[in-house]
Parts: sequence; C-alpha cells; structure tokens
Amino acid sequence: MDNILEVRDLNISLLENNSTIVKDVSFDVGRGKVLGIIGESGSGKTLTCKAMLKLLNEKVFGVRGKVKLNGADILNMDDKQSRAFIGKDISMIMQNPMTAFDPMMKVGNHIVETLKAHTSLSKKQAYAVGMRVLEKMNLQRVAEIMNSYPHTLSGGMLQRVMIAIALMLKPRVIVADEATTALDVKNQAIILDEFQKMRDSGIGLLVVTHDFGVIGKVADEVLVMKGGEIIERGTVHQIFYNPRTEYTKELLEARFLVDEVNYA
Amino acid sequence: MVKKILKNKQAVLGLLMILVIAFIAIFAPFIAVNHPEEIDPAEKFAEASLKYPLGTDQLGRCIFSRLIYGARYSLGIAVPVLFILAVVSILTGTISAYIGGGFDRVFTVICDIFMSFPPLLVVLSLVGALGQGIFNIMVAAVFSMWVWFAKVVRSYVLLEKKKGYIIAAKIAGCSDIKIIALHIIPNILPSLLVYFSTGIAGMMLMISGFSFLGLGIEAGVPEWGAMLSSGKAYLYSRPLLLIYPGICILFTAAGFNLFGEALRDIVSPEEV
Amino acid sequence: MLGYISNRIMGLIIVLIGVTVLAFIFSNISSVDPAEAFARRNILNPTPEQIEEIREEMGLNLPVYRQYFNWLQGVLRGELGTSLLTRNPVRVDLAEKIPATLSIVGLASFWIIIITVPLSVLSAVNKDSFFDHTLRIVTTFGISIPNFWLGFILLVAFAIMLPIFSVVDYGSLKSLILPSLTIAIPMASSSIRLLRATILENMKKDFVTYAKARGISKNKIIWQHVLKNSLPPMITVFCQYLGYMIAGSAIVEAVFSWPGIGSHLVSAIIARDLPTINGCLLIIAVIFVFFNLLADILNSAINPKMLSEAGEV
Repeated sequence: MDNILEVRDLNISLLENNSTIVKDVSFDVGRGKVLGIIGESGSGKTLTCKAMLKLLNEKVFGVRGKVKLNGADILNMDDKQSRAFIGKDISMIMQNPMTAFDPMMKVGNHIVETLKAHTSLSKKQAYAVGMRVLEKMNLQRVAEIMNSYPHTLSGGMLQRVMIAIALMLKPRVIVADEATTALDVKNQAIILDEFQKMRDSGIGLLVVTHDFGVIGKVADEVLVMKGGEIIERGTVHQIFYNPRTEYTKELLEARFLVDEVNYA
Repeated sequence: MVKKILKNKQAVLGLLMILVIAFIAIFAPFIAVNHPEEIDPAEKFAEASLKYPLGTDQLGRCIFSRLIYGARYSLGIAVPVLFILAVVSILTGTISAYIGGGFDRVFTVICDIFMSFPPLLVVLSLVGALGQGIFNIMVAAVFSMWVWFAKVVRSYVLLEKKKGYIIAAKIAGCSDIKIIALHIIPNILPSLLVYFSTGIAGMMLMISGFSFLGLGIEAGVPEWGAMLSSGKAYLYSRPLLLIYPGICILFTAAGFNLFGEALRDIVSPEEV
Repeated sequence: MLGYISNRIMGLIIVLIGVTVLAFIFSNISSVDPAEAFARRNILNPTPEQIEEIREEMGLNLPVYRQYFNWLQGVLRGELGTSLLTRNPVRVDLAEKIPATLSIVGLASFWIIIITVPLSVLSAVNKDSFFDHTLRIVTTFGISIPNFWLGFILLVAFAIMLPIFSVVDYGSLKSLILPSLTIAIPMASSSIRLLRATILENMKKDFVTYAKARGISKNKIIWQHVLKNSLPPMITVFCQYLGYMIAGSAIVEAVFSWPGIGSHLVSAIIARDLPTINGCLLIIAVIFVFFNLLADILNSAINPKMLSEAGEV
C-alpha cells in the first residue's frame, strides 16, 4: 500500500451536550494523490481537517479515531510528540490568508519561527532558507516580503507565502482548507497550479472545498460530506457524471447554475 | 432576559446583595435599634451588647444603627446620580452620533478636553468650588462622568447607525426622532445597561472616597466613608470602627459588580 | 511615524488649551470670594478697603477673561503664581510634592505589571479551572474594595500586627511598599480582568490556529503571539490608570500621611488656595494627557497596522 495518510473512524463530538458532529469519517490519501472533500458549510469538512492536525480546542470538542501518518497515529500521541509531525510531515494551508498571519509579526519571522520549531537551523540560516523558498514560489522582491507585516501584502501574495511555508519542510501530506475561496480568479489559477506541482513531487494532498471547479481541476478522488458524514465517495469522473445521491446531484446542478449565470 | 438573569448564579447573588442593601436602606428606621446620631457620652467605645449590637463609637453613637442608615446615603446618592448620568449621556451621545458631521466633531473635542481630567480630579475641584454638601457632590459626580458615559453611548450609536435596518427605516421614510427613539435606543439599551451597572460600583467607591477625605458630606453624617474618616484616629486602639463601614462598602460595591458583570456575560456571551 | 506624531501633537495643543480653560473655570466657579478669604486669613478683621486692595493686587478685579489670560501668560512662562497658603511660589511647592507622588505611582505601576501579566495569562490558558475561578472572585473583591479602606487594612495587618513595613520613616523604599500596594491592588484587579478577556479573544483568532498548524509550541504561541497582540488595549488602559493613580493619590496619601500632590490639592481645596488649585489641576491634567499620548505612541510603535491606518487618514 502506498497510503501516506490514513484516517480511520474519526468522530468529533461537542463535549457540552455530547452530540456527535462528525461521524465515522475514514479515508486514505496516497503518495502523489489528491483527495477532494466537498460539502456545504456546516457539513463538517473543516472540522475534520482541523481535528486531523489537532487544532480543535480540547475543552470544547472530543475527538476519537485514528489519524495515521506513515503508520504513526498522531491523533493519539501526546502533544509534544505530535508537534514534531504537525507543520513538518503534515502541513496546512488555511482558508483566509489575510487573518492567518500574526498581524504583529513580520512575514519573515513566521518562516523563521516555523523552521526553528522543526530544525536546528540558526536564525540566520533559517532566514536564508526563507528567502529561497519564497523565490521558488515565483515571488518578486523576497527580501521586501520577508521584512513586511502581513497586512501590507495582498491575499494572493500571502497565500503563496503560506504555500511556501507548507512546502519548505518537505511534508508528506498537505491539507488545503478552502485555500482558493478568498482569492480572485487569477490567484486561484496560480494556487491550483501549485497543487499540481505538489502532486507531481509525490506529496499527498487533501483539498477541502465547496467548489466543484477546484475538485474537477485537481482531484483524483472525491468525498462528499453532509451533516458530518461521508455520504458518497468515488473518482472525480464517477461523481461528476454518475452521482448516486440526490444531494450530490443537487450540489452539481447548483454549481452549473452558478456557472451559467456567470457566463451569461 | 429576566429568565436568563435568574438562571445565572452570579447575577442572582449580585441581585440578592443589592436587594439586601436596598431593603436595609428603605426600612432603616425599623431595623436600627437606636437613632444614628444620638450621642451617649457615658457609653463611649462600648462593647457589643443588646442595646448596642456592634458597640458604640468615639462619641457613644450606636455603630449598628449608623451602618444601617449608611445604606440610605450609599444608594441614595449613587442611584439618582446614575439616573441623571444615563439621561444626560444618552441624550448627548445619541444626538451627536446621529447628527454627525461638524457637530459631532465639536462634541468629540469637548469630550476629549473633559476626558483630559481624571473624573476624581473634576469632582475634587468642583467640590472645592461649590463647597461641601451632598447635593454638590452629586452635581460634581454627574459633571465629571457624563462625558465618559456619553462617549460610550456615542460609539454604540455609531455602530448601530451603520446597520442595515436603520438605513432601511430611513429609506422607508421614518422620521429621525422615531428612528432614534424606536430603533436605536432600544437596541443599544442592553449594552448600556451593562455599562451603567458596572459604573455604579465605581461611583459609590468614589463618593465614599470623598467623604473619607472630608469633602462633600458633613461630619457626623452616618455615611460609611465619613464613618471611616472619623474612625481613622482610632486605627490602633479600635480598628473595628474602621472595619465595619469598610465591609459595608465592599459588600455593596461587590453586589453591583457581580450583577453588572453577570449581566455583561448574558448580553454579550463569550463565544467558544 | 513622524507625521502621525505631529498630527497627534496638533490635536494635543487644542486639548491643552481646553484644559487650561476648564481648569481655570473649575477653580473660579465658587461662591467664596478668594480675596476676602485671603484677607481674613492674613489680617485680623480686614476692612472692606483692605479687601479691595488685595483684590486689585491679585488681579481679581479684572474681568474673568483677562484674569485667564494673565494666568495663561504666567503658565507659559512657567509661573503659576504664589500659594495663598504656604506663601511659596506654586511652582516650588509642586516641584517638591510631585516626586513623592510619582514614586508611589511608579512603584504601584511596577506591582500592577508584575501581578497582571502572569496571572492573566495563567487564568486565560486555564480557563474555567479552579485557579481561574478563584482569581475571578479575588479580582471581584479587588475592584469592589475602597482603596482607603484597603490602605487601613494593610496598615493594621503589616505595620501593626506584623511590623514588617515601616510606614513612619517617609522616604525609604520600605515605607513606599504599603501605599503603592494600596493603589496597585484595585488597579491590578481590573487590568487582570481586561487582559484575561483580551487574551481569550485573541486565542480564538485564526493566527493562533495557523501557528498550531505550523507546529509552534503552546508556550511560544501564548507568550509571543497572543500576549503581544493583547498588549495594545492594555497599554491604552494602563496609561489612563497612571493618570487615575496620580489623581487618586489624594486618598491614599491621606491614609498614609504622604506629602504628595494629591493631599496638597485637597488641603488647597479646603483652604480655597486658588493659585495652588489651578496649578495642581493643570499639572495633573497635563500628566494625564501626556500619558495618553504616550500610549498612542507606544501602540503605534508596536502595532504596525495601527500606524499605517493612522497614516492613511
């Protein structure tokens, strides 16, 4: 088996009233494969992502199940151990680049801080690595970007910085949670391009979105989530041309309707 | 909202404490065992007894009865002041924010000037100018704090004004007065209530501080701050003279603080 | 940044002019005739002629606006008049009293900072724990306690029952401890509440989630990201507190018989010593305004966003 990420029976509940909000979610992501998760807001897809990287507040949410990264179950490790994996072997691209960065910290220091958390590089070395990874993302004037505060950069630029940070520690899996939603069409195309490159380099990619366009362009397989459960799964071709559930059909129709309006 | 208050333990506790003080203030003549200003020269610094439940002070006055009557001063000053403050600040703050433009700018500058003085300082100087007396200290308290309240009201109104329903009401042809009275004020009232109820404790502390300094309330009046002030000479020999009135102030202020903060949690609950 | 500060200073000048007017009005609305008061204090049974003479000498016969301008001219030259009570130049009296108050306020600020920051962080991180609940109760008491009473309690507890801190020998560091704690405890109580709430709010922000997703340790997230982002409102409030503390020093100084500007002002008010009242009001207001400006400058220095927003205006 070539699965680098295996999620088994992931259950998320609200501790307050013990209600289950994500139920029995299981899936695999293979090397160089792209798995898309699609669903409306409130379907539990973002919670699933966050739970995988242990980002949910333990006092509010109860998380059960297994999240295996190359066989190691990071979900049930203690925080100190799992922190070595999170951000390094499994990294995340967040939904809103404008709010994901600490407004009072320069962009370069975000990079340095992340590198220092996972490697033994000195501050100077980390800074140099930061410049290089930004250059690889085809960003211009990287020294200036490194020295800027987040609010002075555009959303598209920050999103590319975030991708650079996600890639720089050579992860096995990247989770992209609505990574294109907040961007304009041009920047969306750039990001989707990056996804293709990641996949070509053998990284497993989990793309969470409500946009079938994104799924159609990058995904190999698709999960459809509704009300905290996976209600349908299959290849992109199956889901697009032969959906089995009414819900998926409706989602697809809604998508084409939007497109017709847009192109009219 | 009333249901939510009754469900909140902290709010109920605070409310009970306030009610206890209010009850004592209203029925003071029935609760007090002696007249608060009656002097018994033969019974100076008497120990606690049936006749004097908490003993007597340096002039032989019944401490218990003085404490009971003190509740009247504490509430009797703070509550009317707060009421006047609320009326003045809601009027000025709302009008300034609603009219906007140059009027609002002038109002803001006036606020800034007033706010360059800590409220305590304004009261100090006004009491100095107007002279002693409960009425004067009330005037001074209103004068020193109205800008702080008005500015809060103004910022709430500014936020509310931008909301869709106000614009909709304008387009629908509602008159300005109607919009202010029927839409804006009812909507910001809960937030204001929180602000005012937490402000009342601070005001009581300030006023008792003044009578402690010997400003505002005439000597001999059974006000808690004044009692502390006259008791301070006996700090070493009779510390109880200081401890009792202090506990009364603490109890009342804590009641209002507990209630006000619980109210804030209810009106704007912390999200998880 | 320079443009921003010069903008602020322009606004400040308008406010300061207003402050002088207001300080002047405050000290002049009175039913008591200061000339008569002065005369009665210094001359036994003054005749009306003598009172008129004093009035003219003090410039009190002039119209109010002329009095104001005369006073303002003096202020600009650094002359605040002569105290009616001590007969010293007001400037000299103030120069003597201010350091005493500032030393209490300075030490109190130190207490507030070293109490507030660690306790707020601990209670926010362990929200709803036993510690958090206890701290909430303690701070409720802290904000409800009259500080003059707190002063007495500390005095009885530490100077009489356990004589650790001397309150008698004015001037030593030891004698500063109780008065400064008296001022600091209520202030720290309310700032703990504010900082805890701000930290909790910031802990919900996206940048915290992203920092966790990058594998940054919890401690680093709290101390380097969350705390730093929670500081701007604290700085604003703290600088306001500094002003309150100076004005509020009157009460604490009365408890500990401390010869500072607060008790100086109170005795001036009781004696209707107009030049001293004017001078005290002015100096306290100026300090207050100065600290507010300082808060803005500090905030714009540590908060890049605020600076660029202010620059756009």
